[in-house]
Formats: sequence, C-alpha cells, structure tokens
Amino acid sequence: MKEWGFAWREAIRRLVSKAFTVQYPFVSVEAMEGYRGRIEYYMSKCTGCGLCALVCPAKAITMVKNDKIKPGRRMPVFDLARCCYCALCAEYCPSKAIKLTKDYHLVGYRKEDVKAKVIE
Amino acid sequence: MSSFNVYIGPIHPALKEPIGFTFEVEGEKIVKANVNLGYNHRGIEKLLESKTWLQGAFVAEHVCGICSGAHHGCYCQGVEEVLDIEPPKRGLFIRTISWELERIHSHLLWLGVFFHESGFDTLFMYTWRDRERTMDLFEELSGRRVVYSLSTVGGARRDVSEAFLSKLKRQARYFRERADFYERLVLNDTTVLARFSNVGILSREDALALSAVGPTARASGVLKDVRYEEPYGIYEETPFRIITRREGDALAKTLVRIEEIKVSAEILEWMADHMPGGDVKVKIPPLAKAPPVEVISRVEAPRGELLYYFKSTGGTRPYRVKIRTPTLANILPIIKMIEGGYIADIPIVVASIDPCIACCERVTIVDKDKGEKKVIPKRELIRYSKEWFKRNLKELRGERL
Amino acid sequence: MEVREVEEVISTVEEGAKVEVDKWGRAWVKISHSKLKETLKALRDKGYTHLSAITGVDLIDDNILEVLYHLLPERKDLPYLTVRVTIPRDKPVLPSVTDLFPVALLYEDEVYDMLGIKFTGHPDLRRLFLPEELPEGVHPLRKDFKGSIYKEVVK
Repeated sequence: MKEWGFAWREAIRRLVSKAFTVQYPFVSVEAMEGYRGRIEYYMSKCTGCGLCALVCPAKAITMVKNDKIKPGRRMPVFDLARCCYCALCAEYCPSKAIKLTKDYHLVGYRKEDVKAKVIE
Repeated sequence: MSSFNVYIGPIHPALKEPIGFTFEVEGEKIVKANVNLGYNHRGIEKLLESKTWLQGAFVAEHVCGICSGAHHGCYCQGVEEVLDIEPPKRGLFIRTISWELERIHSHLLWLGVFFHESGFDTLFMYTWRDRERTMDLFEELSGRRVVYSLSTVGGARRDVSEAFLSKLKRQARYFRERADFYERLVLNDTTVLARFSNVGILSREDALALSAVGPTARASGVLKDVRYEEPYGIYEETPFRIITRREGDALAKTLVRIEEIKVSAEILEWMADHMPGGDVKVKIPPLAKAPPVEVISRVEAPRGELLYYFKSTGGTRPYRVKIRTPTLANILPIIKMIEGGYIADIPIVVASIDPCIACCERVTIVDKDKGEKKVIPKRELIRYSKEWFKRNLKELRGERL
Repeated sequence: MEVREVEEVISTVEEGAKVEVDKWGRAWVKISHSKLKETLKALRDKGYTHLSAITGVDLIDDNILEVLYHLLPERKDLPYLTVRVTIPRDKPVLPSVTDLFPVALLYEDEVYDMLGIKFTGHPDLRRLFLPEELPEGVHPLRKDFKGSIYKEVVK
C-alpha cells in the first residue's frame, strides 16, 4: 500500500526540530555511575596477596618489591596500555583496594604517561 | 565480448574485515566468482589454550566487536557445563537481556551501513541515532558501551534495579515504533524497492544444500534458528517467534531483520515484567579444576549459529577450543547469489549477508586481453555503483518491480 | 530422542558402532576412517543435512589426530550428532566430503591450514587463514609447534 508524501512530511518535520548531536569537545560529557575507566589503587588497604595479578586475562599487572614504600611486601604495578578494563581485579580483591573510576580521558604524548592513580 | 577478471580484495566493498574475491565478468554481468580469506587472523584458538577457564571468557569476547555479548555468553554457557555449575535464574535473565539488546543494536547498525552502501545516507544517520540509545542502556547496565562483559562463568556480574527495568520497558516500546517506521519506509519508496528487490536471490534448495545460517537462510524459507531447534537458557518460556520469508532476495533479508527487532523488543518487555528474585551468580575460585569431558555450546548470534567446542583433559586450562563464527558459513552463498548479476550489485549482495569482517579499500580490475591493471578505490566503486543506478533507474523499475 | 534409529543407520555401514548420549542430550559416535563417506551419505539421507563445523584435535600423547564432524538434523526428535574419526599422526590423509556437503570446502581448508591434514578429492586445497608463503610442515595448532609465524615468514 503506497502512502502519499511520506518522505516530504518527514523532511519538513525534521527541518524544524532540535538536532541530536552534542558538540563534544566544547561541551563536557560525563560518564554514568559504574563506568569502568581509569584504575585507582589504594595502597593503604592492599595486603600484597597477588590475586589481582593471577586473575588478570591480559597480564597487565606485575607484582614488584618496593621496600621504600611497603617494606617486606609486594605491590601491584598496572600497565594501562595492556589493560582491557574488564574489572576482574576489582571483583576478586579481598580488601577492595582497586576501583575503576569514571575518568575515560586516557590521553598522553607517550604510552608511559598514561598511568593508574595511586593513593597512599 | 571480452571477459575481465575483477579482483575485489583483500579489501571489502561493504563493511568491516579484509576479504578477497575474484569475479569473472563479461560486460556488466558476472559469470564466475571465487573467495580468498585470512587477512584478519589473530590466533585466538591457540591463545585460549593458555588461559584458565575464567580468563578465557574475557579473551573470547574480543573476537568481534558487534556480537561480543554472544561470544562471551556462549563461552560462559559452555564452561558452566564443563564445571557442572547451575547458574541462578536471575543471572540467566540478565544474560538474556544483554543478548536481545545486542540483537537490536546489531540489526540497527547493519540497517544503517546497508543504506549507506546503497546511497541513502540520511537513513544511515537515523538508524545510528536510534542505536545510540542501546549503547546508553548498556553503559548504565554494565559500565562500557561496546565490549560489555556482562556475564561470567556462574551467572551475571551486576544486578539490575527496578528503575532500570521500567526504563528498559519504555525504550523497548520506542524501538518497536522505530522498526514500524523503517518497515513503512522500505515498503513505500519506489527507489528503495527498485534497488533491493530481486537482487541476490538465494533459493530454498541452495540455502539447504550450502548450510546457510541466520537471517540469510530464514529469508529463503528455511526454519533455522538455535532458539527454535534446541532452546537454551530461558528461551522456552519467553514469547519468541521465528520469522521467515519466501523470496530470498535482499529486500526479504531487510524485512526479516526489521521484524526481528520487534520480536526482541517484545522479549525485553516480557523479561522486565517477569524478573525473578535471588542471587545473580555463583562465585567460582580463580583456578577451578575441570573433569575430563567434551562439551558443545551453541547460541544464536545476530548473524546466525555460533558454535564453541571445548575439550578438557582435567586441569585448569582447556586442551582445545574451537570457534565457528556464522559468517564463515555464509560466504559460499555469496558466490551463488552473485552469478548472473551486475557489477554494481556487488556491494549490496555482499552486505546483505551482514559480514562480520573489517572493511578494506580497493578493487583491482585486470583486463585479460590487454594485460593492464587498474586499481579503483572503494569510494569510486561505490560512486560508480550509485551513478550506474541513477542512469538505469527507468529500465530497472520496469524490470524488477 | 530416537537414538536407536541413528544406531541402526550407522550399523548398516559399520558393524558394532555405539552411539553414546551425554547428559545434555547430544550424541557422539566413533567410526573408522575408511567408512567415513558412506556413513555421512547414509546420515544425510536420514535427515542430517546441515554440517555445522569440522574440528581437528591433536592428541600428541596417543600419537593420533582426531577429526570431528558436527551434524544437525531436520527432525526435532533426532539428537545433535558428532561423528569422530582418528588417523595416525605421521600419515594424516582423509577423504574429502565436499560432494556431500559443499560448505566443507572452507572447513577442510582451515583444518589443513592449522593441523596439516590432507583431504583427497578436494577441488582446491590451500591455506585459508595463514600467509600462502609459509613453508610446508608449519602448522600452528599442533602441540609441538613452538615459535611464531612472524619469524617463519620474515626470515
């Protein structure tokens, strides 16, 4: 069944209504609650068990000895270029020392400039 | 009349991955065709042999960006059978929400790219604007817009709230209204009808003999859908109906996919009303050990039947994982559908099977008599295709409608 | 599930073949590789017209290679069947089934590419996913393959 003037009516309706696009760099867009962005690591809660490095599918966490900050214990070092932001480390950490935040602007001039946020 | 060999490859004239075709052409009609694959191989089956049962799910979801939920859910379903775990009902409901919402998202994306390849760019913008609403729903549900990793071995990872379920119902009604709009548009516009109807016809006998899967087979009248043959998860209780048509051309495939958007929206509304209570998952240890079994897991991805085969010899890692994606089964039907058609129909026929492969850029034309080679970029092939269509619109209207 | 009908069909070709059904309702059967084509033809006439996939497995401890054919029936009361065939590891040759199931053209190319099994009667057996310049004998899914494709091609 043919409808007359279907395309014309649609075109005129769209000419007078508001656009859907958001002018992104000039307007800031915030991610929703629960977004999985940059990793935040609370050093005071960490016990050095190593479960996060065991469970990571992308092998992005290495445990290193650092006697200056945490004597006698290992702490994880996150490589955000290898990370796939699956949040398995946050799910399996027994002391809840890892959190994924809403920050999605992961930019820098070199790979080493993009780092996880370490909170003492 | 001299015949040419048209090499389309290793780049694709429509959609994602690199794939090579060779067409033997006489004038404008195509006589024979051949296929050449393998430009996007990443070695995932070998990689999965060195990851544990839990980690493998997060590697398998990166096989495809559009149907990542189907790969992730199929892997988790298979490993739950290997480890003999029963996931709770609420977790299965959330996993099915991600599957059906992903089907709507994939069909809207395909609709947009299909219209773009045929020259209707405004519709490309319309459908991708509707797709943005599915990505917003995914961001609220799971935390990411594209590769969501919503399920895990043992159930689902996050719980849903009552506010989210009522929002889901509102958006499902919106998707049904938009699908009605696109169906009216496709059936009422003579330009669209002349472009798509009677192009790339796949008969019912060919679809059965070549083992085609997904909407490609259903548009030719074959009742093939994993949710209908072997219902898995909760599909036996949901209001699922299977959609088939008899003509088998590109227009039939479009109409099958638009109708499937409506079916998925109905299933989402039913699930929002009937969500049970309880836990969402059963937690498993990171290094779980499996008994020596062999398991097959099948799921209906947006493009067709997806199959995972697991072999375990005891231990924390699988011995062999085999993945068969639906596009591999639909490549031989392309060769069958294109015979007897025009060169300008190549983008439409290749795009109508919804190939899940990355896009490439060039077409090489080899003149057999003179031995010359000419390289044509993708933009030019599409521009040639659109101009040829405009010139011959009158004859086509008489021939095809 | 009519498992007995499937067993009868296979016993006309090969005596004593046992069809096992696992706890999820799927059927598995093992046959000898010389009777492969007749068995698949009898199954196709029974109603198993859809070939889902062909899988190759390397069992290096027993010195054999295993190939599985996954078949889907048209009738809903027959089970989903997998036919298993084993061949020795130092002489991997099997007959091709492309005249029964045309889609096996691509599936057998992939098994040859990854595991090195040659299919006699295949119209155009060549490497599907890996680069064509790779030397003979380099098959990544074998368990004794150590190294990377990049070094093989670049060197």
